[in-house]
Amino acid sequence: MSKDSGVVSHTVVRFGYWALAIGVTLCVLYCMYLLFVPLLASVLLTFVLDPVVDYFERRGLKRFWVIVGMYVFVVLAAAATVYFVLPRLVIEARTFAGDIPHYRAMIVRMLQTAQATIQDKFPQLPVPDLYQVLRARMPGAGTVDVDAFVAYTSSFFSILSVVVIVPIVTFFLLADGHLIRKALLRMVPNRYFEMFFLLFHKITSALKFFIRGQCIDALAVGVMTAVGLAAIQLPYAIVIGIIAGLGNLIPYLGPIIGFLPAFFVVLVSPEGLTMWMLAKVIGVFALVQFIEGTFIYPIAVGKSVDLHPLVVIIGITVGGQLGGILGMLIAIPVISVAKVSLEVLHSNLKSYSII
Amino acid sequence: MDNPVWAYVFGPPKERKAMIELLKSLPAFEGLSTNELIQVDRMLHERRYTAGEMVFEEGMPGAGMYIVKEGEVAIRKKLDEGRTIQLALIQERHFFGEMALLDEMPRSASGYATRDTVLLSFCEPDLEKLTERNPRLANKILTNISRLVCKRLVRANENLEVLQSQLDGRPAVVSPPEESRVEG
Repeated sequence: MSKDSGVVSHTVVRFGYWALAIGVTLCVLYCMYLLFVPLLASVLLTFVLDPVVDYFERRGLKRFWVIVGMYVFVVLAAAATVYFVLPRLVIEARTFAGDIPHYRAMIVRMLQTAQATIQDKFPQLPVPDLYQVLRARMPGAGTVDVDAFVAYTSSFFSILSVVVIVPIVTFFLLADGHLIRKALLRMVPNRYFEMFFLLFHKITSALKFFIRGQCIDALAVGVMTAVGLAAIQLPYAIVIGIIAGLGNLIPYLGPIIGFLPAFFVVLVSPEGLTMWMLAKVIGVFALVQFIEGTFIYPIAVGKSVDLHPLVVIIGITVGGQLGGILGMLIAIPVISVAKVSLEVLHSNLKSYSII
Repeated sequence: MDNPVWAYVFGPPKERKAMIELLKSLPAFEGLSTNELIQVDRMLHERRYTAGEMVFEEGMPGAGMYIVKEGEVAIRKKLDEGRTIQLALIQERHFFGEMALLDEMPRSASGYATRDTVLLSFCEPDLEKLTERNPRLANKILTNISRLVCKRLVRANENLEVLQSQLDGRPAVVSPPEESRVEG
């Protein structure tokens, strides 16, 4: 009798334990969902900054003080950016915003001319209002996403998360990342410990390498484009540099994404479309692509992610459908990360004869 | 505080002190300063096994070596005929599975806890990271482990000689064992 009640109480305790564990896990997942963007940003920042901390730690400095020093440096660098670069960026943005009606009128004029020419040559053909068609079809017409993004970034919570949560979480991930990893590994049953450990290590190593490489590549392309365009005195060089750098995260389409705004600026410049300016812009982009493709990409990213063009096209289309411009931008990095993780998982599970 | 996860996260200094004392007494970490031992402690993973539980399986990829903190581990190898032989019994303060620390090769034998056992796992990726972060410390640890592996090799060679001489029917000359415990 007592033995039976012992078995029952064990079952109850076991059930209670698992219910509690699942409940806590769900709560943690919900918190992570609420803080998904700042947490993701912190993890990405940790991947990028970790080797810098390692570098100074190798030279005999204490890890904690290296991270503190790095934070001080980042604050100073941010202050310097605000002081030196931001005014120029604001001027560029203001000028651009002020010029928008002029650009719009110019585009409308060009489209009306094109429409008139088509109608003139093919009188039977019903030609729609090209400007309205363009407005409806523009990828940027995903105004809901843009609005949502702006609303998110301008909300108090998101500012708080960026200014407070991201630096704090990144600090602890850099300083105590090993504790978190150790705590996670302790939860793995003994039987799977070695397999899980190796998988965890290989996936995080591959992701670190890929994310770090992409960031270096994007930064290099952004800086080179901005410097190159500033050298040929094209307006909005910094803004176009930032677009080119971010666009570079999308393979194949990256250079086009960077080139389009530059082409647009040449097109609507007060002097009009001059072949010489266009040639200089093409020259800058060609040179940046040559340097990036020959020297930076092979070293920074390498062959770790070699996506087929078809996968890229499908990925960008689906990303665009799901999340507008932002979705297009993050689709390829997300697919690449998934591909790296799956490749490591597949080869390791094979070596453990699990699949 | 019984839960190892929380014990680690909020690890009381007393437990850490005891761990440092234990690490100090291990031949693999001989000559390391307290600060260096704290760094080693950060990398070790404490694993608890019940009697008869498998630590690792022959033929599977190995992640690293294990140090016996408490208990005992038997190293067993399967033979072609389906039989299993016991190669060694690893006692407290000794380590096993060090080949996986140096090369990503499949385990050459299986390890089983013979009684309730606590092991400290020192894995190859952590050693790799340590080599990047603190090459001097990694070098000290690797030198210690190499010395111990050399001693084992000498013992293994002597055992081979004994076997050979037994096969040849002549008396063998064996040097006295340097360590009282048996190693794997």
